[in-house]
Amino acid sequence: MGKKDIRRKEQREKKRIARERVETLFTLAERVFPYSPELANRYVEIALSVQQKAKIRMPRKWKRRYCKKCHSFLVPGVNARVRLRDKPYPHVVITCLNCGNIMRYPYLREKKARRKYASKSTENGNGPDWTS
Amino acid sequence: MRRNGKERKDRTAGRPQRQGQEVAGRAWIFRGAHRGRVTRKNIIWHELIGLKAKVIRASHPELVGIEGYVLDETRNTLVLVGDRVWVVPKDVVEIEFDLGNEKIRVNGKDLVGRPEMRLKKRWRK
Repeated sequence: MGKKDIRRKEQREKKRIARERVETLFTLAERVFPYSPELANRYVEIALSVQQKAKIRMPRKWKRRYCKKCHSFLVPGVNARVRLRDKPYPHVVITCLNCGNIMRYPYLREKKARRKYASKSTENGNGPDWTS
Repeated sequence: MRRNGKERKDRTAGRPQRQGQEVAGRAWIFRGAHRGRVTRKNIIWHELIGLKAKVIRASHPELVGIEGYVLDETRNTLVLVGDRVWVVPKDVVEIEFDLGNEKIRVNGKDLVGRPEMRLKKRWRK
């Protein structure tokens, strides 16, 4: 019993350290990128392997900052293109300009939530009243 | 290694022929990236890249006194960058990491292992 607790504690500690490592690696990649993009890509590579080994979630902040195919660090406007598309379903399109890979991130859920919120507030009459 | 580099001929004498030589004169990039996360206890598992390091003792006299920021890490080596780039083997040196408020001496033998594998190292002792 006690042993199990210790192991669980160690596991938690390990994950915490892994989270910090991913964070520092990405901030370093961001700083290094203007001078040496290859080094930034190397940092992303290490961060990914750390994240996979420790089985942690990729932080929200950095989730879209690397290419899912060639694992290069992406800076919008420099080596990535970010566009909003609405046609089949609302989504963000990020194109990696190194390898041409296209990543799509739907934001249907956010849109639905907003729609719901808007209808609710108009029903209650305390939302913005456009009709009058 | 790049050949036929754009600016100058690669493999010319007296020049570091390493990856990361663009950062060589700009070690300030790494300053303060860790913000006090690394401590004496967890340095073995933590990220070494971006830390300031100094070689205290080594089996090879020329390695002693090398000082700089850790640029890259492989299983058996650390890449340090100061005003040039050095590759230092881990298992024959003793390294002092400067964390701003404290200095930690680590035997390089404890650091052997790929960066992501070090995380799994010796959780039970």
